[in-house]
Amino acid sequence: MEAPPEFRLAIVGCGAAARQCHVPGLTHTRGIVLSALVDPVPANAHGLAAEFQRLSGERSPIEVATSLDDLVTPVDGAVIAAPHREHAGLARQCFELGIHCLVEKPMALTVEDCGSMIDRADDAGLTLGVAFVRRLFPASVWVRKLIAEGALGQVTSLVWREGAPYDWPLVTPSLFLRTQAGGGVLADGGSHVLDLITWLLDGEGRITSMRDSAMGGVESDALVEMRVGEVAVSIELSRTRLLANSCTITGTAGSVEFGIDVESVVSLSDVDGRLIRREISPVLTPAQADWELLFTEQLRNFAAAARGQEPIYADGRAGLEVTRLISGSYGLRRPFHFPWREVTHGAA
Amino acid sequence: MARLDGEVVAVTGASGFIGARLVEHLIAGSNARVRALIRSYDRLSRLSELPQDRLSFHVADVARPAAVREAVGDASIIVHCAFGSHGDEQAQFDSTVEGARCVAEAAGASARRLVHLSTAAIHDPRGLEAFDEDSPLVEDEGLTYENAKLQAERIMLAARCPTVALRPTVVYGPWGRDWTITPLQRLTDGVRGLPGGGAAHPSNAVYVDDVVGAILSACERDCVGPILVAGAEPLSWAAFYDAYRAMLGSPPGGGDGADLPEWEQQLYSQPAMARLDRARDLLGYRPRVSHARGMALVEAWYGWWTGRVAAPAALSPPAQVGGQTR
Repeated sequence: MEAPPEFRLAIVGCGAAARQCHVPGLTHTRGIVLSALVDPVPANAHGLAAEFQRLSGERSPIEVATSLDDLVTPVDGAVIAAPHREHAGLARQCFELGIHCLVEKPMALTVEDCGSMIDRADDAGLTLGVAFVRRLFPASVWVRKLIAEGALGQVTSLVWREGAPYDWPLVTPSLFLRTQAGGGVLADGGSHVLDLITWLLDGEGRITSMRDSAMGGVESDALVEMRVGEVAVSIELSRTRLLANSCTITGTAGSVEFGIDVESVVSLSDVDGRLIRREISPVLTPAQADWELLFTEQLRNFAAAARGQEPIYADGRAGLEVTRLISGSYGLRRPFHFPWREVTHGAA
Repeated sequence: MARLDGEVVAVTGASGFIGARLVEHLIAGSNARVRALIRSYDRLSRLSELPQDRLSFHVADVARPAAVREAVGDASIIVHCAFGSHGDEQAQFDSTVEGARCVAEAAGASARRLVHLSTAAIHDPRGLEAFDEDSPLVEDEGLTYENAKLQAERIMLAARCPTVALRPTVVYGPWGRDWTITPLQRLTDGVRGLPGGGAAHPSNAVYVDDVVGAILSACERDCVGPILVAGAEPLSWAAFYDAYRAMLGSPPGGGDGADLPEWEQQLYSQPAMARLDRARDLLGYRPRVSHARGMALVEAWYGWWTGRVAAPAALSPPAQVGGQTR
């Protein structure tokens, strides 16, 4: 039987997400070839091409372009890993060119942009996926199954605490620029958290309050309260502080606590708080316990979805739901009052 | 407040303890445009929270002349807070000294003023009851922090534009690693021998906002040369550490310091008070943050920073700085 043709991939935006996630993931894929790298700064794309060739040992030519308009090599799909504000425009451009899209989070900065991306993909018959890769973390898959099977009874609350001093090797400051990022820790890592929570609880979220640390720029700390159905959800996020980095979900029949990293310990307790089991999370399909293989699996699913072989893990509607929650949060935001930040000093 | 109308202020080490607090003051309390020089973009979490219409971020290795020239751009005032804090002793020494050379050259080419953040640690006040800017300096040929900062200050004071070298003493406050986070962690870890109880030698400790106040004054006033900066009140090492103990719910107390490194034993046994006459005369320096207020701010911050408190409560308004002033 003849092997299917290779899926020709472009990565649009050659910054930290491409370097830390998608390129390492690509070194393990079968049937997907990296055909093009697109970045307005050619040095970023050339550097990433060299990095891919170093990691993979492959020497196939990779086209480097400064924009999608300049791309000569035909591609089947594109990973959009550019600054947040550019996601919508780049995805729409891809759809006009007949290219399937896997968009980094957040999918776009406004619900309207998300809706327009979905419409364009649907009209063109193309796949639109969102890179909510944390759905592939072992604990995510295991806990979702646990909840779905009713092991916790009726879920009543969820508490998420996630924070560490920011340390990604950024190529540009766009993630910290209000005009480019559209928000801070909530729009960035918080996108994953909001998606995971609504996915785990299988419901629509409604923001009830939000406080954050921004003083006119983008927030590095945020405290969000929301409800997903009847579940009370509390989320604390930080780019400056080391927090517990865990999630606790409580139900009428028990509770589960798990770490938020790829490999994490899961602890299941009964309704009286007695520990039932505590172990490294089992790895259920399609979860991956290795950082690079998470992205390999995400890309494999993207290519398969584009070929109509399976559904995409997280579609545009999931992306829209997260953007709706982020926008709703910012609409309700109240600033923290940090007494140590008051500015009282100046020259005499 | 410092207005700094029409000024462009470049701050090296802008994501550090004092640099970041200075940028916060410049954005919230002056009209200056600010160019924040940082080592890498991942260090922007704190600065990015500020309004960004007058604030820009520039990655630069301060030990590379071309990178510094490009990053300071059209700055009329340069405040040099960066120093070598990464790598081995040699790398830190080189970064501190070469960084000073590069910044001094960049300032000499175009800036109106240069404010260098030096340190009181370049003094050797052994045997003195008080020390000022003319008191003896360390005589050290090694790769120490003190020698690196001394060499850096000499380079800066020889720059081709008017230059102030501020010599703060022990600086504490939210986000401060050496004199806030580390002491709290050491006390939490049960490190023995840190001062407390009866030990009464002066710490000369100063809250970070008062250092920032001195920097802002140095940006505005026509003065040059070295200037010592210390806190509002005479404050003993015992009181300094006992305040941290109180924060952690521990009783006052201390030890003889025998378990501590030699440099630390020497520091805690020096009786010399920093004199602030020059700071008062040239900068109009009036420290505004009492030790009680400073430690209350630290306590609020530390509870939040360690994740114990999600949303800090408001503090009562600051009392007037009291006690004896220097």
